[in-house]
Amino acid sequence: MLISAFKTIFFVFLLFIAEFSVVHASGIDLLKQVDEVRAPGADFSFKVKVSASDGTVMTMNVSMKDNTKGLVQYVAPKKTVGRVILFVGRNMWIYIPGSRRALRISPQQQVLGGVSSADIARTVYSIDYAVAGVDQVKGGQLLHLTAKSQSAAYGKVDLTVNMSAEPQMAVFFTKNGKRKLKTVYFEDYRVVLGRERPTKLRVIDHLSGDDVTIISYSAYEIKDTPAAWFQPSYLSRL
Amino acid sequence: MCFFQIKSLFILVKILLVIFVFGLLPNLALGQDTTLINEISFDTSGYISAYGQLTDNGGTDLVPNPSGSKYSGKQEGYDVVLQMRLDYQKLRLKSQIRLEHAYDDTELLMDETYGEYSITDQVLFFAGRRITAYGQSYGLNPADILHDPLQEVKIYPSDKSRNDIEGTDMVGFDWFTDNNGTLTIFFAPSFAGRDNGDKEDLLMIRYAGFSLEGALDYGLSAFSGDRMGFGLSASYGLNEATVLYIDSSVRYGREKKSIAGYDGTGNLSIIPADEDAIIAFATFGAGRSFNNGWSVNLEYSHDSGGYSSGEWGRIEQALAIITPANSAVMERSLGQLNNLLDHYMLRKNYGFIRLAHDKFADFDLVTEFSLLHSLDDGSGSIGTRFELPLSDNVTAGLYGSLKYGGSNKEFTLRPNASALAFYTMVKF
Repeated sequence: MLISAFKTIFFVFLLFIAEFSVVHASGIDLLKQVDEVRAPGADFSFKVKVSASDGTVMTMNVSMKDNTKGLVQYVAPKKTVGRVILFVGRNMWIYIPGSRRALRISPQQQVLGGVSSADIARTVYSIDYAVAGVDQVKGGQLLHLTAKSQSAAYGKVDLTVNMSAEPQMAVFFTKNGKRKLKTVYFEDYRVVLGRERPTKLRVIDHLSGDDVTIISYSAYEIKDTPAAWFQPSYLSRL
Repeated sequence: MCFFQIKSLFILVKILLVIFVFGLLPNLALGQDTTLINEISFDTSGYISAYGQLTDNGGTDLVPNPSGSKYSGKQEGYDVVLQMRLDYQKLRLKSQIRLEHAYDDTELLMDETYGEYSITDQVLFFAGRRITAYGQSYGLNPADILHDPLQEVKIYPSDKSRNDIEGTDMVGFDWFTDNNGTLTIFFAPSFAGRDNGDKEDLLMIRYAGFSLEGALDYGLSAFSGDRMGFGLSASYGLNEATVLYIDSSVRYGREKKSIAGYDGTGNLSIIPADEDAIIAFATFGAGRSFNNGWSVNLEYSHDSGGYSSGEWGRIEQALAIITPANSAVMERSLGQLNNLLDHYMLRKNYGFIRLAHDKFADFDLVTEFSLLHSLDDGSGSIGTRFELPLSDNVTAGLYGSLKYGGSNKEFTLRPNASALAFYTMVKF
């Protein structure tokens, strides 16, 4: 009797582990596919235009290296020219030309409208977020992502993808996962470097009366930026 | 009469040389060799700024006659800053020239001019005058050892006031290592002097690095010079919105002189700066950014070289004895005391708070409140700034400051207890 009960519990436990592993593994694979849609490789560059609802526009050149390093150079408007944001692993710095030094900032630091520095300098999710679960939704899947560390920009992300693992919408939450901060729609899919990728992000800032900020991507290029550029001490030279 | 006063013929010669190199060389190259000009990248930028300031110009015990000591109830100034950069293959030349008008004087200054050569992708050799800055702190920054904050025009935002200074003449190299570190070694000879007033040759060895996993960066330095010592800076990302940081230095020798006593006629007995003292200076800070766009920094600073309560008490007593200065001896003592107290900070313990927003009240109003408070005598300085962009490259700003704490406290020793300034900047 006791042995039979033990066998049943063991069997249920195995089933649970197997189920969890399948969901977990498929979720990770799916997230990697999503990342491959957004990032055409480990080393590449592109241009970003951020347009806020009040008409303010900022333009930046972004260089990525090893997927974990992002370098954002402001090119317009004039008052921001020369600013650089550097994102390496869990570190983020800003260089403002007159200050003559790179200062550590938090990923939540805002760039324009509802757009944070992490939204610009991070093109992949798998570095900062783990897959907590996957739900089937109409036309695709919903990935529930949770922050891997305290320094991730958001506590929780609900990412909806279509059947081709192309991101459609992401909802970002606070650290405790309860408050909705912003919703991002991935739009204007075009063939860029060999596959369809979103070239426009529509960001709805729920903390500012659902203000809309548009992030437009262009001029994607596979490019190996020198490693030294991704050091805070180098930013004054860019 | 000269339109402006040039510090020395040497500066003028250097500026002419810079203009020649940055301006004429590419043109000459264009005429001679189109391949060469295609490889040359030349960029200029800069800004024109002007301000007007109204201040409360009442005399104090230390400065009883403000107008005779370069203090004025109304003051205006302007400056033109031209920055140039020329890149040719592995060589880069950079320069910043500044024409500055203040206190009825106009000066032409060469803040920065240096050449940099990439020996490899990871090793850069440099020589010339450079403006450098270290550390993370916003209020008092012990790690920024080559800089004296007294040189800054505080009316302007910190990125301009920190930039518009004369750099340090140096020769050295940067090595960007494979493990995300930077080793910097430079030698700054004493012949040209430095903005912090140091007079001896200085050798600095500095290593800066960061952790990929831990959201941590750090800088360690060792330096010789007038007050040799060590520096340590570190910052740590605690979570998605909070940053902790420390900037510190331990130096050999105290820069402040103190008073041993005084006699009935007002003669001061001054104790020279203790060259054997070990002085520790540290700032501990935390910064947090909020979802609504505000960011706040809180800092605590301790300087073991600051005046103790006993030393400050003797300074206050001396001031009481020699003011009003109605004899030649007292006049001389007042001058000595002015010289003795000519430091950016005087006491040991400070608190600093900064609140900032880049886009306050639904339009691009840059808003900043700051407070530097002496925890030793309760005096302090409050600063408020509002800056509005008028176009892509033109901004207008209003800056107000108020010093409090009662008479003869650290922040109220000198005139201009309150000030209101209007400024505008045009970038080109």
